Amino acid sequence: MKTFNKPCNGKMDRLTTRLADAYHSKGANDGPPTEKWRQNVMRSIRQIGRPEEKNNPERFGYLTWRLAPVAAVLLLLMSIWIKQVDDTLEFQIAGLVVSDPAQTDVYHPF
Amino acid sequence: MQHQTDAPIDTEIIRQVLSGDVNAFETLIARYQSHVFAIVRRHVPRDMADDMAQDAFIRAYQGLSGFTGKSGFKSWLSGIAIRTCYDFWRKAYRMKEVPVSQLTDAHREWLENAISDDAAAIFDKNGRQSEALEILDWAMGQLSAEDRMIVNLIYFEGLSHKEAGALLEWSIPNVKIRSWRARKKLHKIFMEAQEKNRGA
Repeated sequence: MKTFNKPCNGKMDRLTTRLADAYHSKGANDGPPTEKWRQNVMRSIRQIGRPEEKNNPERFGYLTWRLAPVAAVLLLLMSIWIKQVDDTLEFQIAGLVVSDPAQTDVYHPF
Repeated sequence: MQHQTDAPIDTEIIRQVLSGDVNAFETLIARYQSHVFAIVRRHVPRDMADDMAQDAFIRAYQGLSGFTGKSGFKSWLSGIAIRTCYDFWRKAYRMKEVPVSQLTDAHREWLENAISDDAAAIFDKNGRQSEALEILDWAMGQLSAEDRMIVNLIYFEGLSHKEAGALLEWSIPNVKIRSWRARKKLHKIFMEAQEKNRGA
């Protein structure tokens, strides 16, 4: 058991020792789990069925963090690409307007 | 844990479960139920121990494919049991279901005896355990779920920061900071209670 050092004092150490004794006594007098409890757990587990990869949140979290840098790089590349495409489109539209000031090619009211 | 030589090892049972033999998981439950109950009984109220142990085994079953075998099934399961208890307290605090008890005269007397300098001479370690448990619950009820888990693991169970961090899946610096803050909070709680005792 660790003691309470600098910010505290000997009083806290004594108190912590007493409380740690109480903490360790928790459940000491309780009996082992019953057979019925184990059957209930197994019943719940059978209802879940076979454990699947997709049911594993820890694995999901692990993969998410592993793929995060890849996703960030992809996002950056896509942003650059969209910016370039956007500029190209603007030039194309400007070119159309300049070559056809009346905009007969793109504007047909009737 | 020592097993009989003819008993299948944990990794073999896990392989069976993952290949579709769900009933093989019962062997793991039988093998580790006492260990899981010992953990949850220390961390959650007595009437919740059965449910928490059940949750821990169901979580372990659902996450079985993520078990890498690096640290052994028992310590992997211990982490799941601890995090199940932590989630219980987080939910209880969020739902404001943590009981806030008051100290009685008997509690105050116990506290004064436990803190006083000559307590070692007059304090009966085995006696008045119920007051000690109630004071422990009272103090823990004033801490957050995070602080509660850290105080239990670091100060009462004596785990290292690294061990506690591994169980809770927290970084070591996070555990160090939280344990320091929790210790200060607990100190403040008891010192205020002592001052009230003297003022009364």
